[in-house]
Amino acid sequence: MRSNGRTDEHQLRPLSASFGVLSRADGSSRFGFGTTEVLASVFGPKEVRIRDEKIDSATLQISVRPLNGLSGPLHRLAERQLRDLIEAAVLASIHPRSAIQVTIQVTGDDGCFMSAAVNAASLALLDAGVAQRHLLASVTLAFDPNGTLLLDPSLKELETAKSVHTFTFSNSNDAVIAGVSSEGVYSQDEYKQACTVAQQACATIHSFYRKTMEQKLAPQ
Amino acid sequence: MVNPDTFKKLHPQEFHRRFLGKGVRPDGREGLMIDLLNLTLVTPNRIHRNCKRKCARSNGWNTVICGIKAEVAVPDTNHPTTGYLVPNVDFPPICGSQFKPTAPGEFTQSVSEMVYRVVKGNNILDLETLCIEGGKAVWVLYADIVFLNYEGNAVDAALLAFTAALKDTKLPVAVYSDVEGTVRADAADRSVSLDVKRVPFGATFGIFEQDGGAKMAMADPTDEEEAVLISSVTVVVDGESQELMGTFGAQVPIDLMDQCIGQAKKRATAIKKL
Amino acid sequence: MALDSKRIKGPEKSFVPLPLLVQSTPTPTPTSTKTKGRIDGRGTDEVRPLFATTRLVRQASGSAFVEVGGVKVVCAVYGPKPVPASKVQDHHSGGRISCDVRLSPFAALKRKQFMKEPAEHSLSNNLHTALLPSLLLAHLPKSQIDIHIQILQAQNPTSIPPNAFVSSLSLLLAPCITAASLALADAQIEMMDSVVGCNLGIYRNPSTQKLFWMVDCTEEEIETRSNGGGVWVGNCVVGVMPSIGKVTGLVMDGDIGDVGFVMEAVQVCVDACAKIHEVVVKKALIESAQAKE
Repeated sequence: MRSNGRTDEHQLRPLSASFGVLSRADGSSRFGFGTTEVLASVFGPKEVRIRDEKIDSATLQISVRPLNGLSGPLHRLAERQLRDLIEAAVLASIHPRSAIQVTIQVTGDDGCFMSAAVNAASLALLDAGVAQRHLLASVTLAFDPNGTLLLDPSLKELETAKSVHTFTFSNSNDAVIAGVSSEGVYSQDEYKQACTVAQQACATIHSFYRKTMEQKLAPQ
Repeated sequence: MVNPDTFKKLHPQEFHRRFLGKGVRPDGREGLMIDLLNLTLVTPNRIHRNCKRKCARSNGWNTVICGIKAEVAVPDTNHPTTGYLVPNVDFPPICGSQFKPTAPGEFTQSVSEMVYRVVKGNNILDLETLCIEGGKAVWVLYADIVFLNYEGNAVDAALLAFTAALKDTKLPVAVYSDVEGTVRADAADRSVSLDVKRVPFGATFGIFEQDGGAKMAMADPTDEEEAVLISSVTVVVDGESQELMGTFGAQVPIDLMDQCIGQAKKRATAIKKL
Repeated sequence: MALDSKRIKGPEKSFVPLPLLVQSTPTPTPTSTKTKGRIDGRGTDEVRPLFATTRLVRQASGSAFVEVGGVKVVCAVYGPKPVPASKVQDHHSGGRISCDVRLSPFAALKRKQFMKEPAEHSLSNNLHTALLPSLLLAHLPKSQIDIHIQILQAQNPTSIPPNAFVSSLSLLLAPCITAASLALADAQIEMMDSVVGCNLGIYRNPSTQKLFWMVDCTEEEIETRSNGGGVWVGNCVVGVMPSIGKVTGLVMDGDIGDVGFVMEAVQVCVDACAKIHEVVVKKALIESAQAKE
């Protein structure tokens, strides 16, 4: 039995997703793993500051806001990782000399906010109608002190974890890790195990995206 | 016929692609996955020695100095016997014209955070050993990693400097006095070396696409090469146990990732010998 | 500690441990009781050995490293590079230089926060003043030269009582000037002559009230406030172009009040700089030039 009522190590918390939650943004979404919730907004393509202008593609402006307190190095790294992921997904070259702004606001943090941020950003870009090569799905996994692999750990589980891994996969090619960020101490075998489980979990999230989108489009 | 330098400035992407297509690097290094160690660990005969600290100079042309300062602080009430290890990476404007004398930007902060993620907790050092008096006083180790010359691949260089400095750090015997509530130590005393459990080595690989669309990795990219890569991946390996201590990366095929991990392990073993 | 959200945070406050209480108290003989000679046995006009080299920072147009006593300074020069059109004020005047001096967090005994300290600003400004006359900026219109200095170590770790941090201006300014000028030469920027810096401590004999000087004071000599039987009253730092014998910058502080003595002190510094130039700086310059060939 896991801390938040889950029965299986490889079980995700209940997923939640909604589109168009902000009225002024070009696209927005909310994504949650249980009580971990992230709000993402997308503006763009819009005007870019001359300093940041790229002549052959759109400039991605990413900002990550914490649940409380000031943002720090943690959030800058999250921004950099998100930029790497989104740059590869978005067809930025069809909007040269413009900016696409993605803002991530954490609204509830019970572990795995980075994964939720990736998922929310991907959905918000979809909602804004920004052309993308693929959709991204991300999950976080952790090895507990006994070496058991836990999918989608809560904050409490993360506290005692031996190592934590965040994997992102795209829906176009699951032989390529779209993004990975691991910390803690772990062996190569553990890493491979985490990667395989993450691959499957990301497939679940991708089908969840599809279901949510179908529900949204169904009444129209 | 265009002069190579001009060509490089005008078409950086194409310039590097032509080299890489032939399996050669612009700076004369051969091979892509072949590991190249161009590393000097300079024991500081004339660079540094204040308090409890030390410097290291590292890979290629990066020049990095890591100074470790030990100070005394009150421990966190939740962890009364745990010391602090505070790594910070700084890119002052001296190390390259792209760095401005302003507050640290996204790049600097994210490199700091990556180093912090690798060394935080009890990963490197049993922080309990930094305890002077439970609940009253612990050591704080400030590891300030300053780049003097930056030419790409920041994380590897920063980690290398950090590891070298930490291994060299020696603390004085500290005495806590209940009456005064102060900690005293002989400034010239250097008798306690740290019990460094793991020695993290970073190995960064640049991922680039070949003509056919196949993805390849090259070890230790320079800053010029970084500009034309599609992404990069950093693997941190413990030189002692060969365990992994962190991976950061994007756009890596799974099998290439395995290759990178293998190379990183080899490299950690090679560096350890130095 | 001021809140700095852009760095990895440590505890809110931390301290350098106090020195041990001396158990057996053999009355610590302060060096001040020595009546003759300097703490390290140098003559009054003798400078400490100085190490200088160039080409340390490959990214820069020119760079230099200078070490004297416990002070270690790296300087890198970037440029000349064009000033952005929006910042060009008039098209007739020459180029300009910007000086930026930074203390590394680990440079002094107490860890320095990343925020700039007033001493760093004052060092930058004084350095700017001392370098300006040596450069032919009229030849570089609409361009800028950036001079960045990183102070790796600001004091000798063993020689100083841990509670003291000298307002290190006089100790640091001289090596900064020497390093910056070397780096400018290494960057092959036109100048009248290389500038060499030297400091001088001024002391008063307590019995006769007469002033006397000591060239190239160490932090210890200033900190103990007494030397060679005198009491420390002030400091003087001079930047000199030794080949043409011109003073480019002069910073003086303390209770001196004797113009004739000031003139004498400056002259002594000029002579000391000439010596440093002859022995060390020239060699570094020749090495730099040879490496370029």
